[in-house]
Amino acid sequence: MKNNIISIGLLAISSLSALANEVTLYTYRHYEADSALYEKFTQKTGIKVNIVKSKADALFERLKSEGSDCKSDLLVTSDAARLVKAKNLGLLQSVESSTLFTNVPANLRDEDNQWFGITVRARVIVYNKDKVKAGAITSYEDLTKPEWKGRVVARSSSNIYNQSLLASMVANKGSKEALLWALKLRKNMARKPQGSDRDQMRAVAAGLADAAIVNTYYIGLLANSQNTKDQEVASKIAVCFPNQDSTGTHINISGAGICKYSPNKANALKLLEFLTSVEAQSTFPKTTSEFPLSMKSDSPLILAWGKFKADNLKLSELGKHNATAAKLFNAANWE
Amino acid sequence: MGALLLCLLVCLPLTFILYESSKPSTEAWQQLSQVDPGGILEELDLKEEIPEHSRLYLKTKNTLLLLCSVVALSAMAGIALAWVVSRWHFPLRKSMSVCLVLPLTIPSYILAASYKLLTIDTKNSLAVWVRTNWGQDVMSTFDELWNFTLATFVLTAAFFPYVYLAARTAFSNLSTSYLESSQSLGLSSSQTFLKVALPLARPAIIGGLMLVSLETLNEFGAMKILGIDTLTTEIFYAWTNLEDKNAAIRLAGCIMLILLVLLIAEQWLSGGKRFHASRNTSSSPTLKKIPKFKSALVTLSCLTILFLAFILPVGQLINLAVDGLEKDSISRFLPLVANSLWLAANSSVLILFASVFLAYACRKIPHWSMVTLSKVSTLGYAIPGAILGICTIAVIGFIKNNTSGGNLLDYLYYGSSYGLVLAYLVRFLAVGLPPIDAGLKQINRNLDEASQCLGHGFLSTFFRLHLPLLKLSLSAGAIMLFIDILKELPLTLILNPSNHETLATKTYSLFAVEERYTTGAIPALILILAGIMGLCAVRYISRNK
Repeated sequence: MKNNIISIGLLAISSLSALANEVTLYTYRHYEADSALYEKFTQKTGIKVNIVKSKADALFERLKSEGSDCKSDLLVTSDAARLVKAKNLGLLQSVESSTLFTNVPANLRDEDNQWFGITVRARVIVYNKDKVKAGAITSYEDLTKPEWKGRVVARSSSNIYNQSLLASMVANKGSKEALLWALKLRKNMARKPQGSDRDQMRAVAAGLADAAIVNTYYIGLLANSQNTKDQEVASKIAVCFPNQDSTGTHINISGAGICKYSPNKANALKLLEFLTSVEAQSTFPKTTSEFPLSMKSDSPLILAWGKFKADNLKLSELGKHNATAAKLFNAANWE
Repeated sequence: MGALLLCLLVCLPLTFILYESSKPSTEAWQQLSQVDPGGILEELDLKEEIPEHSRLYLKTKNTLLLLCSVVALSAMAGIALAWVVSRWHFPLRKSMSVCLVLPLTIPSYILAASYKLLTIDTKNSLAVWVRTNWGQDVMSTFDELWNFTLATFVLTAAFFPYVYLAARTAFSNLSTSYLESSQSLGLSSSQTFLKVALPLARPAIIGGLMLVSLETLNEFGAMKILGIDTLTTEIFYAWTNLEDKNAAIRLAGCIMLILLVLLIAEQWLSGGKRFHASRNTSSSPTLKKIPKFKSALVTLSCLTILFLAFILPVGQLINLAVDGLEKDSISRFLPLVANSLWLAANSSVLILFASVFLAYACRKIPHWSMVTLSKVSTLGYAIPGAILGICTIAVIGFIKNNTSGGNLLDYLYYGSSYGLVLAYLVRFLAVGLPPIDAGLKQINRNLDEASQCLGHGFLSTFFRLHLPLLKLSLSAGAIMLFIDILKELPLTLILNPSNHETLATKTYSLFAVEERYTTGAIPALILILAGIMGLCAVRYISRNK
């Protein structure tokens, strides 16, 4: 009896919430700047945004467990490989939206329109200005040369940004070349892989190593940090956009897809369109130091980096070769 | 019956782990357990690159090394501090006795991040110096040694109060008559400590050490921050990188295996003996006077430990937060305080109830099956938080698909945070049960019989005799539960309902993910402050009852 009363009460609550003008998102992006954007969206449209933050894989498990009784409308996560995984798990649905098709370049979205890029980042090489001449490094492959022995640092291979970089090499050059690259680079490392991208830059600034592989926005976050020590680190390093004469620099996205059983699909689409609109896009370079989808920005930092040639590999390829990349890293003994 | 139900709740995820581990091994498991899995290197004629040991071997070795060093150091620090604080007379004794629990209020991942921040520049410059003098290879070894030492230090600093608290309770519950008679029989004070006090306090101390072991085995955040690979970090590697839940759960099984060995060792060490201390009516024990020089030294040692484990990291956080407050106001974190306190208070009460219930059931029915049942129900703590979260989600999905209880589950896990409370119960029973169990064991059974002879029934004996005697153990349990739940991260991250953030999740995303140390220091400090207030409240209550 008691259970029945509870059930009826809950039914009433849940039917009420179905009528409410809201959208729920499951997100792996922990940036506070994102919350400000969602508030802006609510002001514009009157749609309330509910947020569940967690690790990407935990969100996938949650969506899998919810099945058709889905609580989430939009899944937001970093790295295309994760979005491909969500698609392969059957967690997303295709949407037709001319706004999204114009706002998001074709290589930064799914062929079946299940996920779309929101922001772009490049995985670049940073080096110590005092120790390395500008132009001495031109490619990811340069770092595997014998003269770089004991001079490179990078984070752990369990990090998805490294996996996607290696996946892009698998797609561009095949597994064998990719393995050799990972193997040689690991041998050139000054220390066992550890820490965040920021820690790699700290090591380079301190002179422990001369070059590191990092994502662009981390450089921006260090340079714009409130901490003077971080700013000092940023001032000691320079950025190289590698592989300008060959494949182009590896890029990746943060992106989103509408959940397969989204209860508020129309609102989710509105939010996704908003995130790719000029209004939202113009904020990313300033808040999180990420590139907008158009790659054009008046942010001083991004202007200073200048134009560069990006690898135009379809990002869905990163998801396809993700498992191979993980195995290759393991074989290369890159912890 | 109730004990069985409680046990079942805990056993659900456990069975899930056993069931998954019994499946045939997957390719991902080969990636973990073999050298050159799939023969990639051999095929490419790169045999010389094949490492000597598999990942699994290396991570297990790391885990065991870390476990041994943290447990040994925590035991030394915890027992020594508890003994001097409860038996010796030295300046600042009273405040030290209270303050040495404070490190418990700092979550291990904040302690790790804060120490990393404090030492990173020194470490980098030292590494450069090592390389200039001894070359690249020595630097690489130096780097690994540094990381391991720092990790051991951070975990010891974070977890030794578990031992301290357990030992202090046991030492102050000790009847002075034992100690006096030991000394009048000619034993020196160190002999008294080794031959009388330590054996009598053993169940409590071993309980504390078990907690230290469990926390160390399951530590993920701090290990990631400090660059140490253990079986727990490997679980996440298997789950998120090799995309194989089965291999991840198998690894969780490996951790449970280590734990099983520890549990058997615990049983063996306490030898199934019961320790009844006949209580002394005079509650305040006489403190031993020690020479001035010695007492100054004791004060100084206590202060140093407190400084390293609490004052220094908190000082750094305050320093950061002062900068952070220039841009952020404290008010935006206030709703999180309410969320965190509500969760911690509710869950602590529920878990204490369950613990008293289980411990009492064991006393009333001292059959081996009951004891095993109570031991099994504490195994939830051994399951890494994230795995427990995933198992919970899987179990909810299963029940919803197969029964009509969907609405209730929806309410519990999505519409409210009661689901989180239930998950905490599964996880933290192991924190609540040992102090209460140890406390109950110290109550002489003769008292039960006396009470019965005087015509008191079961309930009356419990409320009028046991509960007052358990006061100290209950407050010790409450302290640890409250603080542990306040700090809990992986479960909360996975099972949080929408728009529900706690101080721990906020601190984690600002401090550890965004590395916005100045802003992140604010919720971190509130979290620590809330823990301290919890400590004060429990102290106040236990004094006034």
